[in-house]
Amino acid sequence: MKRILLLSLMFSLTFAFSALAQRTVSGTVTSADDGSTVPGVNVVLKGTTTGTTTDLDGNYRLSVPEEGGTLVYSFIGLSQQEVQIGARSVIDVAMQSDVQQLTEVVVTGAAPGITTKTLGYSLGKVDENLIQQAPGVDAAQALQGKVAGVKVIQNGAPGSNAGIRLRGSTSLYEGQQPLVVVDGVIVDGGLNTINSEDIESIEILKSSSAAALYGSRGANGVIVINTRRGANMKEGDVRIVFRNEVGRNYLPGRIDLAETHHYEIDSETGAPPVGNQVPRADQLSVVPYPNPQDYQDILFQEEAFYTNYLSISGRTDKANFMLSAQNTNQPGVVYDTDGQSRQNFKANFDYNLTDDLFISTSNFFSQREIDNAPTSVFFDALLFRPDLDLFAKVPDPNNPSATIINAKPDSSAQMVNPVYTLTERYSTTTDDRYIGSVGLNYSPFNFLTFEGFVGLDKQWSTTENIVPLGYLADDVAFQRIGAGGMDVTKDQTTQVNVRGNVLISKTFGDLALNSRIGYWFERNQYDYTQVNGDGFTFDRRTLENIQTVSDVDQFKSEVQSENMLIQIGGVYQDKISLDLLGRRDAVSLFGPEARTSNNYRVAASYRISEDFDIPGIQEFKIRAARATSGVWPRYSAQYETFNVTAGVATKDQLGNENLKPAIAVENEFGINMNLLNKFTLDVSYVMNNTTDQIIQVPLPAVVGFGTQWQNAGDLEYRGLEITLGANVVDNPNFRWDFNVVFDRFKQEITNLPIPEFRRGTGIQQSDVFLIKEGEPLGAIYATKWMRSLDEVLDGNPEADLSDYAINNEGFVVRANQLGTGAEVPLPYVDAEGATTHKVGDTNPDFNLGINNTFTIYKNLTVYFLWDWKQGGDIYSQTLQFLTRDNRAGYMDQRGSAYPKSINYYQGFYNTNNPSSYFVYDGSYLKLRELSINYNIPGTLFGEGFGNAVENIRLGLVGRNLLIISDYPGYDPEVGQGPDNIDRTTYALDGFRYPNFRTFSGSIQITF
Amino acid sequence: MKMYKINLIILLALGVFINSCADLEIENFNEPNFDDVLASPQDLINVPGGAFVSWWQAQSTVNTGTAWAANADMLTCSWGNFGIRNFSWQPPLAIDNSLTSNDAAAISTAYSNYYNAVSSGIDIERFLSVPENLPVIVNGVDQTAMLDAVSKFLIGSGHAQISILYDRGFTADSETDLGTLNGEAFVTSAEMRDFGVSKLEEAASIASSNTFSLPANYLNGLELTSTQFAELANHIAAMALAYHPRNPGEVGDVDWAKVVTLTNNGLSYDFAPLGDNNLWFDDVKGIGGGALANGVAANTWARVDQKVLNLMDPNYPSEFPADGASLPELTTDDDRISTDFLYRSSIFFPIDRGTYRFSNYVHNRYIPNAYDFAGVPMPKFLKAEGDLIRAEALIRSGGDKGEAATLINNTRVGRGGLTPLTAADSDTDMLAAVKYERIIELLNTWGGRELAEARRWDGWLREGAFRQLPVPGGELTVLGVEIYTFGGLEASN
Repeated sequence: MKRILLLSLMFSLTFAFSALAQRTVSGTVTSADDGSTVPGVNVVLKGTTTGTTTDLDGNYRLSVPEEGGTLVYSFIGLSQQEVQIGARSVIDVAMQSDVQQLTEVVVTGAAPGITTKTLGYSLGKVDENLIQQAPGVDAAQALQGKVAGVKVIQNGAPGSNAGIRLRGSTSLYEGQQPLVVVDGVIVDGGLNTINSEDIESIEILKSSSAAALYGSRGANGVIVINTRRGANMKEGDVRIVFRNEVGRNYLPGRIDLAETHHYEIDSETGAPPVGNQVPRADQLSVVPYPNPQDYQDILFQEEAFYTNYLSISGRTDKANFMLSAQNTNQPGVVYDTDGQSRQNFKANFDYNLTDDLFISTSNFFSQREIDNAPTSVFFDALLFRPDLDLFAKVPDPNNPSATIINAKPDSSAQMVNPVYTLTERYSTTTDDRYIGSVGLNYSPFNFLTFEGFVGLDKQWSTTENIVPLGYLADDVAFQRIGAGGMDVTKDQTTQVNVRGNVLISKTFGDLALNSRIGYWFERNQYDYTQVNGDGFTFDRRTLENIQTVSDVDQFKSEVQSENMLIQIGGVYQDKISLDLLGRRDAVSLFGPEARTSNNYRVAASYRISEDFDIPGIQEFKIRAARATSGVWPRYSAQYETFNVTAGVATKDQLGNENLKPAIAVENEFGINMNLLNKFTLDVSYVMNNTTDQIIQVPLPAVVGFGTQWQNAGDLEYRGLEITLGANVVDNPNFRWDFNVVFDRFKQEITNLPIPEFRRGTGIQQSDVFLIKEGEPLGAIYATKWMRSLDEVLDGNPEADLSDYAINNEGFVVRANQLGTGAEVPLPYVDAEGATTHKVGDTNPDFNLGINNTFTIYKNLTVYFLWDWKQGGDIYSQTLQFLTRDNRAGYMDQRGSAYPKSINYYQGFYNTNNPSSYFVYDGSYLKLRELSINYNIPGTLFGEGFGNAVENIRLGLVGRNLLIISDYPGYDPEVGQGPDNIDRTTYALDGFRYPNFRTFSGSIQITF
Repeated sequence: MKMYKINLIILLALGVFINSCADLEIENFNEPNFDDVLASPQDLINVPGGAFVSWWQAQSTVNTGTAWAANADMLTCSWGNFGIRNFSWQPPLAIDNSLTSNDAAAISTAYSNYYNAVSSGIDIERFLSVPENLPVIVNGVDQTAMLDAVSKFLIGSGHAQISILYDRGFTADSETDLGTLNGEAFVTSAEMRDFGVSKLEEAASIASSNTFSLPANYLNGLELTSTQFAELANHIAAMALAYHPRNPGEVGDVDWAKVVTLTNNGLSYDFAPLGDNNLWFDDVKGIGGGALANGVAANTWARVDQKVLNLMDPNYPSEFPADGASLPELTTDDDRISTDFLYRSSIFFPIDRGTYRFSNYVHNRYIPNAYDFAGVPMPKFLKAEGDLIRAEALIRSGGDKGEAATLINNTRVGRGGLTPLTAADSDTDMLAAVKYERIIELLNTWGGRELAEARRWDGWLREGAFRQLPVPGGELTVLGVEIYTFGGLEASN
């Protein structure tokens, strides 16, 4: 820090003394954080060019007019201050740090010696101050809406992983999940076990340049999480933080459902019969069900959640530590499920063994249990006819003297009573996870440091799905109806990182040269076992009591890689930087003939403001970078395989000895500015082309092997990212900071040398997305319902257009059917006879996040985060199924001036094949986070707690408080499917756990 | 301190380089590769196990039968799964064979699975063509002839059964260079058929002149003798000829004399491997029919088309009435109405999808309780099928009508309890009886049979129903051939 500040001093702008000074003011500038003196601070008489800078000891001396005036103190990384001179001749100032400003923070992955100030590429960062305004259950929540180019899609189910994408898409097949690094350990999987309270900062290495250090697996970017340590504390300090948060979950919205039907009614019940229903002649859904119910009000409950957190940190002259424990219970919003219960523990220690030897360790352990909600209940609760009593009891066939909830209240329907499913079936996941590392730095000379690092991420997970003995509903495998059964899945992941780096730094006059030479080794081992058994002998729900083991499955994988890297960073006069990196990876996932991959980065920056004095601009940097990084193939991709089941081998895929990683080549240009002493601006333009996509290529059937993984196809994107930060008002009693992040990406599959193919989210009939040359990833292809008469002629040039008409909803129908029960929409067929067309694109026009922090009387902080996504379509499988079962709200034709028959909507339903009718604009404006925190300074308590209380912070936090959107589902933030599915691209909404609203209160006491 | 420091640095160096020799040659722990599968004669003898599974699944999965039978008005169902609804609209639609088709699996599964079996047959044939590999001795037994017959069977039956369903394909055996195949190598279904039949005849010939039995893991639980295996080969060859006609007009073109010859040594047993709920299951029966599960009414899939019910009771409507009200039970002398069919008073199909999809009858001849096929025989080719093919061949080729009557009566009287036929009955009456028996007795046996049956009888298939399947769109595109399709009122079918 000190060295960098000195450099700043040496190269900071100087100002001419005013020849007309009549008296002198002097003083010392210190840091409000730690009381240390700050050299290089600009001190300017407001409204003049008169000024000076503080010396090495933070002292300044300045001639000012006799009548005084205002002095303006400014320094990069610190909040600007204005002080009235008055009659004083000595003015000492303590300056606050300012997280909004361009600070001289060391960046993960940059060449040693290059800081954010001289960085040649863009970097996203979320600091502790922002994270702790509304600490989320997991770290992914800390990223939403706060960094340009970062897309986070939450999956409502408690404990689930968010889908994250940094910038545009890089991969057609392998998803876009970035690499995650926690305290230096490259971890396996997402962020869902990492709690927010421990996080000091999150760096988002979103560009290939930033991620180049991670070489052939860095193309999706890297999220670097650093947790708190005691290193920043004053010597001798011990700090205890105790935090409790209690809140409630709500699902505010409901999907609009029709409470009418189109059947003849049974005169006794006033409702249609169960089964053998006879439609009314007019086919109009206009007859209300008697006493209709909305089962969503049963399925979704208000639930209370809480989090307890305790941390103790401290620092001595040689060591520091941070210990914490967090206990959280998040039940979610679904009836009779407990959601997630999680306990996290963290222990960080650093120790200076000697002046030149430093040892550091980080340790994290998490255990959790998740009570999963079966997905079928989200389907059943919406589709059942609305006149049923879901709590009605019937005699228990397993025990004639007892009654049970009726599993099939509508025996003619496929659906099962969701109350029965939720109370009778069980699905539980238990996870344990340890992330730990030991690092050792040895600096025998000032210019030379050796770094050694060993990291481990170990995860154990068990999921049990249980259908108890006597289960009566048919939403389970046939052989389990009545007999029960269970699946037990266990998996274990071990990820080991070993690194050795040699750092050399040397200064030659104005040129500071730094280099890193490294050897990195990584190993990932995965072992998955599943046992399925049918039929319990007794009502004891373990495999011990299973009668028939129907399936045993195991999958193991191992990946090893070793990587050599060399980095050279040069900084000239703290003004011009050049960052060169080369990395050679040898990875077991690549085919034997393509085992190594080379990547590089060239990044440069020039701080123009060091050479030119531009009015109103305190800092102006231009930068450019070019880098390559890669996407790894999946474990089995290189191998020739036969499927083996029950000892029988059948051909599966052809091997590929030449399989290599996909390579992303990225060019980035950007500027960073500090303006008008208030604003910071970060603009990046990025061009990325990922070639040699890893694609499963179909082979002619007679080959026997159905497919082969090959490097084929290019995916390209262009993007613009703008981050504008401001400290709009900075008075002692009122401070307003805001941050606006904007991004816009356009992508295209520029080359696809194989037949176009469909992709989805992995659930039945979700393949509405077409991977096709010339289209973006996320293009929706479906049957398109005609909206203009011209379209009729495309497919049938001979058509007599008087036979067609456009109805009140804008769809083309046959003229003689208009207004009748036979009126149906007509599918578009183009001149080539194609019946499937592009009807949507999930990629938004832009994303915009705005966060504001108001600090009132220093102790009251109001923070809120708006998140705006403009454009980007959603495919609603939910509405499609609701249409199938005549339950979509728009099918209620009561009071309609132009009533439409059931047949009309069944046309749109399209037999559950993709249909343009279910493509919706996914634009939204969300008040994603709102928090109000009040700090009660410990001084108020005086001796009351023996001076032990530093402060007490009371807080209110709301999440997902307001959604403004035309989307007719629960939440336009849609993403579902397993973790390897690209949830940020495949916006498909189909009966999944919805995102919900939370509101909570917290108290945090710092001792 | 100095020593301490040096120790630490050594530890650091060790920590870094302890794994410095990364093992990048990591094997695939899970699935075997070609070398594993064909590493030794012991491995070779296991290859057909997988090939027979592919062959079985080509005619027994959700995607290989029910939708085609619904197109052929033998079964009916409103559900959109597995191509069923799209293949059975009234009026019929063209098959969507595009790359974006939602019904792609219902077009491609049989094609790819049959070829998968062919591919394994080629691997074995190629192995046996290397003199150094011979003889193949496993556990002291010379299995060369058995493997030779099996390889010819796999190649032959794959080609033969593709020729029944698809309009074209490749002919390939161990002498074909698979690396150079392109769209120009496509041949007609007739050429496919002839190639397949000749391979099946080779298989039958090898099996007839040698004595062996198939290992039990080839055809789950069936240890066919060489004689039985030859019969199976002859049966499929006869099927390829008899079922090849795409319309009634082509029936006369069949080489019926050859069918008689092939069925001289046709099936003397019901070919029925045992299920295991894993690889060996029969969704043609499960989706084509329906079942109860542990006494609880389970959802059922397809029902029996009114046209089939009308065959059994001419007074029963051949189209379901438009009002959608359930029909009563039908009246017939055929005993099978109570053994093979189940009347259900409720119809669960949404009425909005058309009452033409309705029916009150489920075919429940085969489907076991709780859909549990473990250890349950799954008849794929009935002896009755061979009898009825031979009966038709005898009638159409001017052969022994007395024998034909006997063959028809085997099930007509034996299972149906209907009036016996005699040699004195007219050809027309006897062919009508063949048609009746084949439709009632052979329902839900192998996937595609209903389509192959329906298209060859006057007036059964409605206008616009497809009569054969196109080569899957994905395959055509891989080979650089323009996508085409069948079905629909405006297209060829």
